[in-house]
Amino acid sequence: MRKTAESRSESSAGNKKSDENPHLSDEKLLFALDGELAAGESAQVKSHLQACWSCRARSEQIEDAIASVVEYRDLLATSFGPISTSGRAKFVMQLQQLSRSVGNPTLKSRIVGTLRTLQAFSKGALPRQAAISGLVMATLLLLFFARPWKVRNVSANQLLEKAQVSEVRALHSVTRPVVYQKLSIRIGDEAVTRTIYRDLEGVRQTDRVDVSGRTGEPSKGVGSPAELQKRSESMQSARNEIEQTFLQAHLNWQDPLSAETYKDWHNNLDEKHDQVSLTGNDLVTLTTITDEGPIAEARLTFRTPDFHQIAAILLLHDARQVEVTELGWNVFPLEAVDPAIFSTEPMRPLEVAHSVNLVPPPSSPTDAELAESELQARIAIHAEGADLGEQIELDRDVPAPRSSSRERSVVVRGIVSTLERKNGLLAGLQGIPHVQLRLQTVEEAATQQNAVAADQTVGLENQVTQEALVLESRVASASVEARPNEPPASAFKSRQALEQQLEERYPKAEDRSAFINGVVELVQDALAQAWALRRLRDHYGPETVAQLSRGSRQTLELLIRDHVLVLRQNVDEARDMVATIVSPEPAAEVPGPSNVNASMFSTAPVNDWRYNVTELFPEVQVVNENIAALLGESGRTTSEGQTLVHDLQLTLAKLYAQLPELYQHVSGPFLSGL
Amino acid sequence: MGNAPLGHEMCGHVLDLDLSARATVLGQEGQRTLKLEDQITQLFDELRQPMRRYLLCLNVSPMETEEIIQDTFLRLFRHLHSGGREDNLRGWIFRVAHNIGINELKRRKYLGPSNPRQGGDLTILSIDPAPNPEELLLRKERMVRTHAAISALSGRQKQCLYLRAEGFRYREIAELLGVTVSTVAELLHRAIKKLTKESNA
Repeated sequence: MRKTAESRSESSAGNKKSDENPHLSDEKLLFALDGELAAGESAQVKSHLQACWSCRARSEQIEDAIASVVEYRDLLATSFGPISTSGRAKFVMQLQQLSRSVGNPTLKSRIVGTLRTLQAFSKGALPRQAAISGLVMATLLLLFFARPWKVRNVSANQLLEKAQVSEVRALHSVTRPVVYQKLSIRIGDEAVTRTIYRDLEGVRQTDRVDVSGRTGEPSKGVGSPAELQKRSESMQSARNEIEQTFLQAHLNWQDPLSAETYKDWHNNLDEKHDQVSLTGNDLVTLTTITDEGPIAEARLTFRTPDFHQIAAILLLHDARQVEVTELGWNVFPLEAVDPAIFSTEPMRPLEVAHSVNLVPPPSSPTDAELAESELQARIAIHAEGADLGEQIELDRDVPAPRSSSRERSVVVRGIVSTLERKNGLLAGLQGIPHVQLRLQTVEEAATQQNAVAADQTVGLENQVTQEALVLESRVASASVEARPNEPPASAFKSRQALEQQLEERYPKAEDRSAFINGVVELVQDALAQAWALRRLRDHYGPETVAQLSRGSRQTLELLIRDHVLVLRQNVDEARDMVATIVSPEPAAEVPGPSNVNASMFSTAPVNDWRYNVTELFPEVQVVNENIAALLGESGRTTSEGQTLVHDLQLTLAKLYAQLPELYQHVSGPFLSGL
Repeated sequence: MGNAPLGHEMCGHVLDLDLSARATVLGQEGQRTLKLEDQITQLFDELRQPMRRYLLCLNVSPMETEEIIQDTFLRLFRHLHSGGREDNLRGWIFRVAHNIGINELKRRKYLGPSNPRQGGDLTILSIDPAPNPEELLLRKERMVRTHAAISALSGRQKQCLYLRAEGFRYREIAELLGVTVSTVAELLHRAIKKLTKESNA
């Protein structure tokens, strides 16, 4: 086709209609396409095109070029976001004003006008008809061009979720994160610059507001004080109003660009129209238009590399507009920030290391508040990686015996290995309201146990400790402790076979042990994740979830999702690694092994993550035990090693199939969407 | 927005004629159900999107675009209210908006570009969950090529191209830009030639 085009453009130059060159010129083809040729000529072109494939091809090229232009234009236009709804309201207002100021037509002029209209109507019927058909043609043309070229959409939730995940990731990159954010907020003609430091774990925030000039330039101390005062007052009142609006719409004034609150607001709307458009240089804008609530239209702009949200525009139904633009955003560790910027101390100072709650909570918390605090504590513990089998327990409603206060609270108790670990956890947990911390190092626990043997709490702690220790020992040493209804599993033969395989694959001893350690670590971590999931399952039944706010449910979703994701990765990797040393044996051909719970075979899909977790946990346990038996140091051996391998493969295959399902379950708003 | 001559006798009524393509109710039924303001608002709703598209393509900033559109329709109101007649309202509106837009652009030249998007590369969303990534890639490439080709066109060529894309006839474009029809044809022909060459490159 390319070649044809070239040869044609050479030959077409000069002779337009000559018989020697019967082909049509590009010009003519374009004019024909544009309907700019006289009827006769147009018919000629048409019949020529029917007969001549080369001209037809060129004509199609021109059509393609036109289509590209239209597509490009639409892309360019949509990249600026959809048209604002407030613009119309503003226009209508202006038009009415103008109309009022110029006055209404008099009666006389109306009559004259009507006469003229009738006259013109009878005279000008023909040209008008032509005008109508022209307009219709133009519209059709437009439709024809525009039809196949629409910009594809990403769902709003996908985008918001990406933003949330990216934020959580950024926050987890440092311990004790302090978020620095500089925002420019414009409400009508007024603008402020807000500098926010948010100490996430101390739950404190500084918020310096500088009133800026109309140009957006910060003007701290410039201009007459009175004027500044006045401006700041008007700004204040506008700000209050906007804060109110934020509240009504369930948006967060403290964090105006929060993807989470946007999502909340968005998902609570019954009727809305979303549009996701690319905004040029690595920006995506999500626009939501709705008739519900005070906000008519909201636009949230993200930068695509990390889906961090950088700007928001809210158009209110009363034609006001709020623009929030991020001028800077960063996450610092607490140490890197001058503590003086916070006017208040962190809500729970680090020195509260000693198991006693020095600052009594101000008022008796409700169940819901306790539930939120508890979840926050879980998140903090998760962030420290301490929910994977460490001896840390959360309790609710236990009155603090050694505390002066009798308030209800969430008690975090546990014994950790080192002082460092303890301090890390305390730092992570500080500042969560209604939380009492009773963490001890092993050493502390030992001494205290001797000192106050009679204390009931210690008894409790011991209980917790023991329970957790069982798990810990299971995780840490991958003990081969057999479950009651299991046949004594052992692996002598298969161990031998495996060792051979291993030696073939990894001739060097250190490679071998690295491989073994790798697999063992993977399945241990998988077990820890499954264990954490099981604890969440036990804890977050439907009633407890019902107590949580929407935001907390989303947090819980993220927490669960996080565990499932890691579990899935671990299982996938473990399966791949196991496959390299065990001769491939399709799991389907293996008869159901006796040591697997019968309930696991119920394939009926139950649409609940808790059910999935219940199903998964014993399987992960089996994997863990079998791996330990096959690869671990323990030398228990009998003849049934082959069964072990089968079990392992079967269970891994099952997990491999089940986990994506679970992941699917927990990847939507499976709790917050209820 | 200069002071348009304010209304005298004929105010607005001729408009029914011109708008009859849209609101045929008026003339035929003799009912004056729609006031001039309403008709203007109707027109505003209809043409706002295409006008915005056109102005944005001319590199007018989104904010200015919004203002220009409003300004144009307020001018239209004054024009019609004071008895002005117009056979091709759509052409009139685009002409006015075009002229204000071009003036704005000239003015802005001294202030530096305020619309960085147009200069940069146009990237298609990488997160687009397209069922067919190949198609997406092709589209992206095509858009990048088109962007390059269009950027290389002269201002007049672009204007013709975009006006044509809005469905205007050559004659209308010529009137709108104040050039002859054959100039429009020539400009468009050359623009399309460049574009087809580019897409074959």
